[in-house]
Parts: sequence; structure tokens; C-alpha cells
Amino acid sequence: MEGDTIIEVKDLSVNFYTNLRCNKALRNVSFNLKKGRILGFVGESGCGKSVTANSIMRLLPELSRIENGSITFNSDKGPIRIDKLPKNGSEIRKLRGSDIAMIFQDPMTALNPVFTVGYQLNEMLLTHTDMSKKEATKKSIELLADMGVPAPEERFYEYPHEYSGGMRQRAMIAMAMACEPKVLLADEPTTALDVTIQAQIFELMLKLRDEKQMAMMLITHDMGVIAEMADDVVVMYMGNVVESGDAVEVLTNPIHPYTKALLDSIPVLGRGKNQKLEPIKGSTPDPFDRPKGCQFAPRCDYATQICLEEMPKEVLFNKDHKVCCFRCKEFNNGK
Amino acid sequence: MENKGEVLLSVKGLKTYFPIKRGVLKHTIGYVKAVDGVDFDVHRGETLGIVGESGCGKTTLGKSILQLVKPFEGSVDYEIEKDKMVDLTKLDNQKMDIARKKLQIVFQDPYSSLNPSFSIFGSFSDPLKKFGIKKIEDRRKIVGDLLESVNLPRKYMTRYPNEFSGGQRQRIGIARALSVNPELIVCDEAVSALDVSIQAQVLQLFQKLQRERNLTYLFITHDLSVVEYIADRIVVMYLGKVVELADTEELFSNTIHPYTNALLSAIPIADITKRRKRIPLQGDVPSPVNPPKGCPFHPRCPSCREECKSNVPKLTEYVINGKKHYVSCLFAEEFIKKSDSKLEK
Amino acid sequence: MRKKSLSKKMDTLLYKENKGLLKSSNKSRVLRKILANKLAVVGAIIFILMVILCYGAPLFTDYSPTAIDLRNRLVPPNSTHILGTDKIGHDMWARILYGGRISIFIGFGSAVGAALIGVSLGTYAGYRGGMLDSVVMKFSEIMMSFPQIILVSIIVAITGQSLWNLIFIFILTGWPGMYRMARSQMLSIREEEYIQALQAFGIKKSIIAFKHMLPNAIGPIFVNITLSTAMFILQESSLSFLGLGVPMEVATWGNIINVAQDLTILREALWVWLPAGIVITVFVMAINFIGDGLRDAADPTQVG
Repeated sequence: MEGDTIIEVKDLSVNFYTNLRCNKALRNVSFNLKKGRILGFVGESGCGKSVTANSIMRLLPELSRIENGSITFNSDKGPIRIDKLPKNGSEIRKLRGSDIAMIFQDPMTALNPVFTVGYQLNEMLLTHTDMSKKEATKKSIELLADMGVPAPEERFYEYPHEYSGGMRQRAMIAMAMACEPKVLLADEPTTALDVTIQAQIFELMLKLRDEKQMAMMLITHDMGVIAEMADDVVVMYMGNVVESGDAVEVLTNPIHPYTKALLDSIPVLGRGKNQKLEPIKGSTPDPFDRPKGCQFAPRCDYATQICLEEMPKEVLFNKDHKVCCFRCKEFNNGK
Repeated sequence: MENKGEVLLSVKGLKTYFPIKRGVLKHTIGYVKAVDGVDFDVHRGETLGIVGESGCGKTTLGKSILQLVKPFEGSVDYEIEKDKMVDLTKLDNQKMDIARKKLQIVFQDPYSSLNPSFSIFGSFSDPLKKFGIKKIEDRRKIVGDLLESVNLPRKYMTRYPNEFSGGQRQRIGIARALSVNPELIVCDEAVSALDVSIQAQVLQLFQKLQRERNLTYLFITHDLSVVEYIADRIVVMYLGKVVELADTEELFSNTIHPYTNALLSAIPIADITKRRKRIPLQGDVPSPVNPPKGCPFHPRCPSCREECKSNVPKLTEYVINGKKHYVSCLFAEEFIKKSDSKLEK
Repeated sequence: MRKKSLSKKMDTLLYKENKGLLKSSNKSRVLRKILANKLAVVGAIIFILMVILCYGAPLFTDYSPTAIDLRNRLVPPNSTHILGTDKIGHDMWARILYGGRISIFIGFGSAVGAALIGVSLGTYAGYRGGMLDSVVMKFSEIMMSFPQIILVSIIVAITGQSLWNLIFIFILTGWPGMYRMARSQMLSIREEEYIQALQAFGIKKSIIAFKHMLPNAIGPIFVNITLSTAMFILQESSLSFLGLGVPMEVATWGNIINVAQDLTILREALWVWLPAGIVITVFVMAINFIGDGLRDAADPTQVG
């Protein structure tokens, strides 16, 4: 059913242990992925959006650990606690690809250059289903056609370097869709593509969302992409969720100072030369030397003493608009 | 906004081809036509935006103007002194040094634009020494002044690049371009690799420097939202050719070329109230190795006609609503008449 | 089991971090990684010890490596001769110590010589590209495909055995490897934007290549020098064993093993050749450990 939560993430905290230091990459991240809706994850570099997606797929690097929190996948057989599964065990490997699929930013490095695209598609099908090789080949060609790859019968036998950037991304989406997963995690899928190709890929993703009622997580740093594609949005800063909720609500009525500042600092197409851009003062802190308290406080125009000392808790506004800020009620009432 | 100031740079018929070599003896079997016949003028004090997708030749165009890449054909005339235009393509290495003081470039990748083995002062030294600042105390003073003009403290000159963030490195790159007091700066995707909130900082820095020093910018980017904010006029490129050139406002409100139209409709707008149904352009961005015959855009053009497949359109000047508007399309007049603009010939 | 210990390490780090005990160290990451690599440290210690022993030989032995003592031929190790004597009464301990001087000199000298030529050519030709680069590349390929043994035999036949001939040949056959490595580094650094910025200022090509690019390429080159040293010492040993290297009177580690060609010595007088063999093995291994450690430490892609 549309709107049903299929992945629930609660209070997820992840630490990275590299260079003999501890980097608290994610802290108390909570959100829900719902069927038939696109959840946009927006934030700048270092905010932890890719780490979140990798945590769901359990693809975090060796020197990292989920400290606490839960990731629950509501499968047909009941809820599964993904965070409790062994890292590369058979259960998680079964889920990957057939229930939860992921596509990445650079399709050239995500596809293996020494195998044909067809071989890689078949591999996906043969691993997760009982199809014979012939059946898999037929299905793969159908998939390529569905994803808009022209002349799929010939393209099936070609290598990734013979595809253009947009086509490779379509092939990767075809691979992700091969086993009809219920969830698609897309990590900056169009950042490396040209704008006209990006539009094609987004059209494809919207089609998938509508036809198959898929839950999608769309990670991007581009507010334009969020405005065009997201049904719900999560705004992240330095490993924390600062604001989340329905996309139209959050973007037209932003409450958190970071969300507001972010929206004010980007040029919007159509507003012309005289639009006022307000850069956010300062710069993102060193992840190994994080501020105590609210991560955005040193750069926030409205920070008070408590902001510098303690982490704010989540406050719920109408429907599901959540904000993590000590002064959020004040900002909301001011409207 | 009419043309600012006199013509500082005039590009005519510029072509930059890269030979494709095969075999042991390396014979040339073809060319990558990166820039395939480009004409435009740049006026002193203006910001000319150059936009297009990958393969359109905008980066090669910037480098060809600076002679970092040798053009195959065409001329690049620059006003080296009052009323004296010199063709940069004809200058030898020594004479080019005078031009090098006046034309500089800022690059895209802040992580590769500074030498990791040198301190900031070290990176600035050689260019300053070359252009006559022999004494080390003089150089120190100049580097300090440059850092301050990009809003960084003087003491940063002893530090190494790995101690700086992307935005700071980009500002150092800008300071380096300013070290020889140039008149024209080519900004090659200068903000594309930065975080969105830092982009605003750097864009405003560019504007401040332009006001203070009367700089002229060639702003190369693929991001139309950024170029709408910063550029006075915009050149739209496709497969090595100019397809449209007009004042920023005109280009966005009276778009004529079908490619520019498609580009504008494909861009996601960061305003959720302006969400719209878009008609994406079909097909792939073509490669400059084997450009289509006739109009380079015809295979993807939604308004393609029979003639487009064999006739190559020329960049033609129209005067629309009192302003110069250049379009390279066989049916430009028809499209102009369809929109309600006033066309004068 | 491994997971548990990793988990425990993480817990300790987390605890320390929370207490504020960890600070970003100013010590270079490279230095820290080398010191953490136990093999590299062991290798370095062995290397330093052996260099001291060999170059400070008079402090450790009273005998001369060339002193013949016919009354004490083939004496097994005893209190006067720690490692015994050979067929003509040379003290083996002295021979190994003084021989080490020559072997290390040949190894290191050839490596540095090859590096000087190879790196200079590689830096300049690699940066310039074009005809110059193609010509030198082809030339280096020819040099590399030439079998060293044949070259050595020819030169020895013409000019006779000598220390300097050997070094000359090693440099001649060694520079192409260095050249190609330096060149490949240059090719990738050439595309960096800071180099393009220097070109936009019109800085001279030679200054760009040697002052600005080379410092960034030097890491792998140093590693290569250490590994080449080891390789040349081994090559000298092989050639001397075959009688094509340094003349017999001069002690080098390879020369000492030469006597093992004689079956009786091989079987019955192990003290004559075995210690030298062990010394060569240990020294070369030590250098390899150092080289590996340097390479791993300088490699930014290795997570630690």
C-alpha cells in the first residue's frame, strides 16, 4: 500500500575508526522509507548521507561500526533487523539485490569493465532466482528495453565502455531492478551526468516509482533535484538529521536555520541576476574535532548558550515535519 | 543590459582540433573537433557565461583562448594596448608573456589546483619572480595582499594546501590568478566542485573582485542557475559550435534555439512551487569525433526538418526587443515570429 | 576471533576519544605508518647494524681480508678465527666484513647512479613528450631487452674484470627501469591543474619539470632505489660466483661464495661459503622490508 513504511531507521549511530581516531559519522539518525514515495536526502559533503545508505545495505568499510540504533526492514516474512545481521552473511546477501537494491554515482566504476553488461545482468538474476540461463537472458533484454536502452538485443552483448554515460546508468538501474526489489537506494545517481541525460533518468525513476510502488531513497547535494523529485525530504548536517518531513512542507516552510540558510544560499533558475544570495558563514568543522552540542551552532545566526553545549532533541510539528533545534518552536510561531 | 565598454577580446572562426593517431608511425586518421568554428566578442568589464554539456567544447575554448592549447585555425584578437589588437594565436612564446600578464585562468578542482609539496608562498613565487618581483620581501608583501583580497589571513601563506578546505583552496587559486594583475580571467567551472553553500561565497568574491579591479570574466559552467546569477551575456555551445548568444535576461525569457529550450526545461529548479512536467530530450550527448552532418543538433531536435539534416546553419545576428541576439538555426526567424518578440533586422 | 579483537580496539579508541585523549597528531602520517610496520623497523635495524659492522671493520677484526696464511688453511671456526679460514688462509670473518663494504658500495652506488640518469631523463622527457620522449623510450626498451650476462661477458672480455666496470654495467642496465617509472609519474602529474596554472604563467618547461613536478614523484623513486640496491647486490653475487664480477683478490660477498664451485669445499668446509650466503640473504631481505614499508606508508590509498 502506498505510504506503508518499508524500512524504518531509528536512532542510528555509526562511528568510523581510521587513522587511530574515532569519527562519529552518524548520530541518532531516524527516518522512514515509505512505499511509492521518494525520500530525498540532502546535505553537503561530509554530512553522512552516503554513510546512511551504506549502513542500510551493510556496505560500510571494515574500520567502522554501527554503535547503536536499529534498521528494520518490513519484509513479506515479517520485520527483519538489518543491523543485527552478520556483516556479510547469507541473510543480508539474500536481501541485497532482491529486496533492497542500490545504484551509485559513477556507473563506469560500478559496472565491471571486463564482463559484458549482459553477463552482469544475468549474474544478478541467476544468483537470486531459479531461472535458467536462457530465461535470464530473455529477462535481461526485456529489462534493458524497459529502462530505455535502444537496441537491447545487441547492447546485451556489449561491454560497459561501449555504452555512453546515460546508458550505463540505465544499465545499472536495470541491474538494480532485475529482481523487482521493494526498495531502491540511489546515491547521487545523476551527479556525473549531463543535465539533459539527468532529466531522462529522473523520468525513468518516476515511472518506476509509480508503476511498481517502489520506495526510493534519493541522495543528492542539489536542492533542485529535491524540489523536482522528492515526496519527502531529510536534511542532514554533519551526521545529524536537522529537519525532515513532507518535501513541499519543508521547502516552503523551512524551520531549521540550516535549511533556511541552505535555501537562501543557492541561485534559483528564473530568479535572475538580482536575487539575493546569502552564503553560510564559516565552514564545516573537522569531523575529528566536532563542536560540542548542536553541530551547526558555531555557524548559526540564532545560536544561544544551550545550543553550544547540548544536542537538541527532535520536535514534531504538524503531520510529520520534524526539526532538531532548541529554538524551533520560536521560529515556527514567528510565521 | 547593453554592451559594457569596448571590445577587449574578439574570437573569430576559432577551431581546435585534436588529431587521432593510430599505428606505429602515428598517422592521423581523424580529428576530435572540440571547437568547430566559434565567433564572439567580449567587452571590458562584462561577465560572459559559456554554457553547454559535456563534449560541447567549452573548456577547450577557454584553454584555446589562453593558448594553453594551440588552436587549429582562427584568430583570437586581444586589446594589448589602447586601440591595438593583437592576434594571440600568432604570438611566439616570448611575446606571449605580455599577454599572459593580462589573461589568467582559475580551474575547477580545488584539490589539484595547488602543488601539495609547496607552501602557499612557494606556489606563488615562481610566477611573481618571472614577472619581475625579484626581492623576497616584495613577494611576501604581495602574496599577503593577495590573500587578504580573497578574505584569507596573511599568515596562511606559510601553510600547505592539505591544511585548507575546498572553498579556501579555490580562493587561493583565485588569488594566484590575480597575482599578475590580469584584465581578463577565464573561470573554468570554478565553483562546480564546491559545496553549494560555499559556491555562494566564491561567486560573491568574484563579483567583489570584478567591481574593485574592473575585471572581465569568461565564466565557463554547465550550471545554468549559477550562470543566470553571474553572467551579463551567455553563449550556449553544442558540439563545438555556438548555437545561441544573448543577454542573460533575453536568453531566459526569449529562448529561440531548440537546444537552449531543451536545456532550460531539463534543469531542476530549486523551487518546489515551480515543479513542472518536463519533456526530456531524447538520445545521448553526441561525441565530437563523429559529429552529425548538417546541423549538429538535428538528431535530437524536436523541431527537426528535412533541410536540417544536410544544411549547416550559421550564427546569425538578430535584433530582438532592441537587443542583439545571435542564433544558429535554419528556422530561427520562424521561431522568433512565433514568440511575441519584436524582430528588427 | 579477528572480529572480536577489532571490536575491542574500536571500543578503546571510542573511550579515548570521548575522554579527549586523542588529538590530531602533527607527526607525519607516513612516519607513523613506517614505525608501525614491524618488519620495516626490524629491517632498518639489521641494515644499520650491518653497515656499521662493515664500514667499521677495523674495530671488529684484527685481520686483513687479503692476508694469506698458508699454515692455517681451511681451519674450521675456532677462537682465533671466528669463522675459520679458506683455502689460502684468509680469515673469513674479515673477508665478510671488508667484503661487505664493496658489495654495499656496488649495490647502492649502482642504484643511485641508475636513478640519477633514469630520473633526470624521465622527468624531462616525460614532461616534454613528443619526439624526444618516443626516442628515449625506444632506446630504453632496447637497453632493457639486452641480456645483462652477455653484456657483462663482453665487457669483461674486452676490458678485464674490475669494480668500476661492474658498476658501469649495472648503471647501464638499470637506468631504463628508473626512467620508465619516473616517466609514468610525470605523465600523471602533468595533468594536474597546478601544472596547467604554471603553464598559464609561461614558466619554463625545465623549471616546471624539475622544481614543481619532481618533488611529488620522488616517493616511489626512493622506494625503487632501496629495492634496486638489493637487486644489484644479488646480481653482483651471482656474477662474482660465475667469475665475471669483481676480480678474485678483492673480497666481496659474491667472490667468497665463488669458492663453493669446488665440490669438496661445498661439502666439507661449509664455514667458508655458508656465512657469506646467509649474510647476503639477510641483508637483501632487510632492504626489501624497508622498501616495502616505505611503499606502503607513502601509498595514500592504503587505509590505516
